[in-house]
Amino acid sequence: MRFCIGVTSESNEFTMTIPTEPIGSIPRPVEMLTAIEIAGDDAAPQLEAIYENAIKDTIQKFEDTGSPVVTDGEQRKYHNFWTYCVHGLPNVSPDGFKIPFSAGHTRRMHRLTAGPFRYKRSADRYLETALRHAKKPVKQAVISPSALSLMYPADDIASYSRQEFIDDLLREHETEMRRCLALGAHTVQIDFTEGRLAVKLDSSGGLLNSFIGLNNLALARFSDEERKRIGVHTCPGGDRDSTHSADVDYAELLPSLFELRAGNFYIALAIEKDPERVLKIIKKHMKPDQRIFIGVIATIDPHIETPEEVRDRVLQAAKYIPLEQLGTTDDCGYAPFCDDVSTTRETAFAKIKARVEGTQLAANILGAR
Amino acid sequence: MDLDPEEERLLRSVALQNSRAVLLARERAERDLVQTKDTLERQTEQLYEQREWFEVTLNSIGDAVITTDTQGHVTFLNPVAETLTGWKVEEAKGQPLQSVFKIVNELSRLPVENPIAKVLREGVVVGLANHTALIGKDGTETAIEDSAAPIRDKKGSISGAVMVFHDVIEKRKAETALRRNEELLADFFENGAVGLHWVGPDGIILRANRAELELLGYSEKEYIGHHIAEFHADAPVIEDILSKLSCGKCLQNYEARLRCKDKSIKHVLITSNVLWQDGKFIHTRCFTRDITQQKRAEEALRESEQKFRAVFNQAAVGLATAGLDGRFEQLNQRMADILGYSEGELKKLTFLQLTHPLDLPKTHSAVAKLKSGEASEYSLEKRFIRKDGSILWGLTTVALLRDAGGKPEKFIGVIEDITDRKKAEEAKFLLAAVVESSEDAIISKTLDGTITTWNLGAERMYGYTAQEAIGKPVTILIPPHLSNEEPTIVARLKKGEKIEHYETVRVRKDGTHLDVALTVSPIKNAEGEIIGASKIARDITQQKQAAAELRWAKDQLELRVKERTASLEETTKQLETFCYTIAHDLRSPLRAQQSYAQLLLDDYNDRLDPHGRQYAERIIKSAQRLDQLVNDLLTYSRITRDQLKFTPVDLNLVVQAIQGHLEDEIKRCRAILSISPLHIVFGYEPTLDIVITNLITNALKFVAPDVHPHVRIWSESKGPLVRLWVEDNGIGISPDHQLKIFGVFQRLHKIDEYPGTGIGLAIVQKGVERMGGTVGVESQPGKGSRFWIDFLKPPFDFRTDTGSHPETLST
Repeated sequence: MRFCIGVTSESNEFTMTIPTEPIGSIPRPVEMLTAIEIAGDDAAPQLEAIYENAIKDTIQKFEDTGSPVVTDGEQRKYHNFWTYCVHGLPNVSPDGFKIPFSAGHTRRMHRLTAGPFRYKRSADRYLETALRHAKKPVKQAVISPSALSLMYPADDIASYSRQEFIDDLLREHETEMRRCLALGAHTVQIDFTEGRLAVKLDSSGGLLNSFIGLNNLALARFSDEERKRIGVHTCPGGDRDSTHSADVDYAELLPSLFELRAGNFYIALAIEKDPERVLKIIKKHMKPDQRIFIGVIATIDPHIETPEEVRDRVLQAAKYIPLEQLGTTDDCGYAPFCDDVSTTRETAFAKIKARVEGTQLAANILGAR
Repeated sequence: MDLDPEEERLLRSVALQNSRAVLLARERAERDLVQTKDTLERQTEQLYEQREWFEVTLNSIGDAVITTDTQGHVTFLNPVAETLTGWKVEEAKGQPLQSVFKIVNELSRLPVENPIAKVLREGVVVGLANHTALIGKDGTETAIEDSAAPIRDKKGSISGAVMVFHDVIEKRKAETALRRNEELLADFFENGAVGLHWVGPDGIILRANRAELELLGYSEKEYIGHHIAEFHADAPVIEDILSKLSCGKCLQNYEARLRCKDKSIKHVLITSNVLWQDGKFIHTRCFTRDITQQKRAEEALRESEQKFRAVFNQAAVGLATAGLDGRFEQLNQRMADILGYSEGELKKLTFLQLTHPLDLPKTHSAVAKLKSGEASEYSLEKRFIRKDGSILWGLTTVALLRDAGGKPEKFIGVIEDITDRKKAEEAKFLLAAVVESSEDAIISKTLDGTITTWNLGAERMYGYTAQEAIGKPVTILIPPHLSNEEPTIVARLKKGEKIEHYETVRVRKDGTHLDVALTVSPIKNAEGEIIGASKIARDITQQKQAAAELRWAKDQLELRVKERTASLEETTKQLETFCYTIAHDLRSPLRAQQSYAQLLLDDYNDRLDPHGRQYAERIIKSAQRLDQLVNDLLTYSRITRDQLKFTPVDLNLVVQAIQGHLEDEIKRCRAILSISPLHIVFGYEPTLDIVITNLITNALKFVAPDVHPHVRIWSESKGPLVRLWVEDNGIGISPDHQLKIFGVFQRLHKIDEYPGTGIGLAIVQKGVERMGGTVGVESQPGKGSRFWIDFLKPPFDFRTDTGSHPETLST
């Protein structure tokens, strides 16, 4: 169980509220994107100050929303939540799988061309910077091993077996996770957006179970105490106000999803057409040691939710999820791909503010206070 | 939007192949897990044991230990580290090391780089910089040293760091002390105040310090390198020293004499032993202590002590030391003498035991002040009780001797016998009191007549106050017409004469005269010179007046007595004459009566019937009795009026004569007279004869029937008197009658029992009185009587006064 404990300024009494966390990404400032484009290299030295200012500004605005947990808005994740750790590796090629989105565009993965597999960079680098600017707890998102596992080509790489790749992948992931935990991340969130995609690709569920199995191999390397600070985020994939697998029924995903040995689950729900049905599925399959952060903000929807709308979504969820296991979140990051400017930073922070205030309204009603 | 079919096929292919690989990895992981679990359990157990071992070790070692993780956060502190940092392990865990382990440079006070950071950064063992001080949680500062090292896992990767450090205060102290000791040792040898030298096994001096050289006056060159024997005044001594040292013996204060460069001799004490290495004689280590001054001082002290002992013993005052309990420890003979105890007896006593109880409080008080340090000594005039119980007045001066630390050690006291002075003072005070309280005027004056003292009596008598009189000439008291008295008195005083009861006249302040009786005594100074006089004047004005009145009264009385005596004598004479005349005239008709009655019996016996004869016989007997009575009365009368002529009378002759007169009577009653040699008395012999005859006659007469009288007569000298004793074995006289018997006509018995007139003892008393003596009796009924008569002795030594004892002389 996780409770956030605070003190209200009016009553000076201890209050219990419903935890609420963001997913991660915030649209990058256009100026920064322009500068990167001009530099031609996201790692150009002259960009450092721009990155720093963007991170500082993002955290400041994040904290201004009242969000008790913040992120760096993934301002330095290049090019996206999925490939940031392998971008620029010499043994990868950009001709990996193409992920089609409902908006009609595709995103292409990297393909491993040779062994061994090593991260070019890990997310703790971003966390370290964020911690320097943040006054509130900082959450860090990392890519799941299962997502990266798709880099290994269908035809085996000579002298670097798939098995070796899987081993290296797990070790790299574990190292990244541990560094984040060690630096003091409030939670480390594993982005598992490919979960619904796996169901979409393999309706038998075999692929999903493979992903679950792989990720659990990684999670098994952590202690129970550590796993309380580890979460898994699943969504239909959000990019440019569209998804890649929103058509996949949660009913096919969630039972397997809750097999993941994580303490927290961030589940996109606001975008769902029948959230009550999803909540029932959640209720049925969630485990006692799991906290379910339901998405109360539809990040791909330009409409800015009111706190009351959020409140109502929380109250609805609270019917199915015990209060001590309930949390709120955004359905997805606001810009998982760095060049996604479909949502403005202002909208994103307004939506976040609505999430925070709406969650508090619901908490007040639920007596969670 | 859907995937490209080919794309989807490949993706599915990759995913499924991955799935198999994942499955294999999972199986392997599970196998590994099982193995790992087993291994882990074993390792856990081993680790537990190791951890226990390490924890115990870490908690037990004297060094402080802190470990951190790779980020430099504290993961462990052992108890020593807890103590030095002031952090408990629970609160320190997870804290950045620099929060828990704050270090600065002791000298510059600047922060020192935390060694753990360097260890984690460089993976090497890092030692702390010199002069590192740890600032504890409470701000306390501890000098520390030691190092930090990386903790590596099996693969050699750094998994944390460990820092071991310890408090170096004691170490630094020890190092400083060691360095200091080395310096001191070198300094001690070279600059020590005691001479020190080393001698090799061959007797050659190897090293000598400055004190040694200065002691003997040699330079290093003159001393070092020479044989030690060259400097010893006594060859046997140095031979003995070297011999003993060579045998491994140590010398302790071995007395020797060393020869100085200036030829003088130094007395020294040598303390030495040999430095041996592997059984080899390396060199001696000889300390040479100069005791020349000490020797001289000892000699001087010895002499001083002898002198002191002599003074102590011969002192005119009592000297003693006593322990803090007051018990005598040392004392001189004078002390023993004045207290009357032997030295041995005194040493068993305390001076408090000898102190008079009345003087104990002030003695205790004085002793307490000494002990408290309030006083350094006290002087008291106090009394001691001698062994014989008599009182000794002593001027006692006592001081408290303290040891070097100021702690009281013993008393030292002086007692001066001031008993005579105190008695004199008492007498003086008494005299002063007497003088002041005397009714007589007591004054003193110088030889030139100036008054120097003047008592209250003088004030009362002469009217001058002491203030008015002292300093004035004594002639202010002498009337002008007696002005020549003073020179006469002074002249006699200068001869040392004392003038007593000199009656004269003095004049008061108011000019009136008074009669005084003077007693003037010379006053002498210590040398016996007469320097003045004391004069006691008694006012005899009233006395003289009374004496005059008494003299007049006496004269008047004597006149009246004379007149009355003359009248009485005349009356007595007339009475005696009358009595004699009567007695004498009575005897004639008595004799006629007696004669005619006898003629009647003789001539008319045949014509008288028995009654007639009986009547005639009764007439004769009555006449005889009356005659005897008249005769006795005549004797009494005569003895009363006889003109006595006193002469020395030998009582022996008197008694012998009486014995002859009474011979028949003595024989008749078969009496025994025991007569001792008797004294000569001053009296009138006829009266003596009558008196003694009466006593002997009574002794023969007043005896019980069938008892033969036994009369003892003796005399004894009693100063100016002679007492004559006449003792009988008669019937005795009861005490009630012993005063009566000397009266006229006093009879105690019927005339039929003991015939007589009752005048005999009256005659005895009258006769004795007429001779200036007295008579008495000592008697008890049935036990006889002892009459005594005190006679006057002759006025000159007529005969040797031999006295007499009642020795029996049978007659």
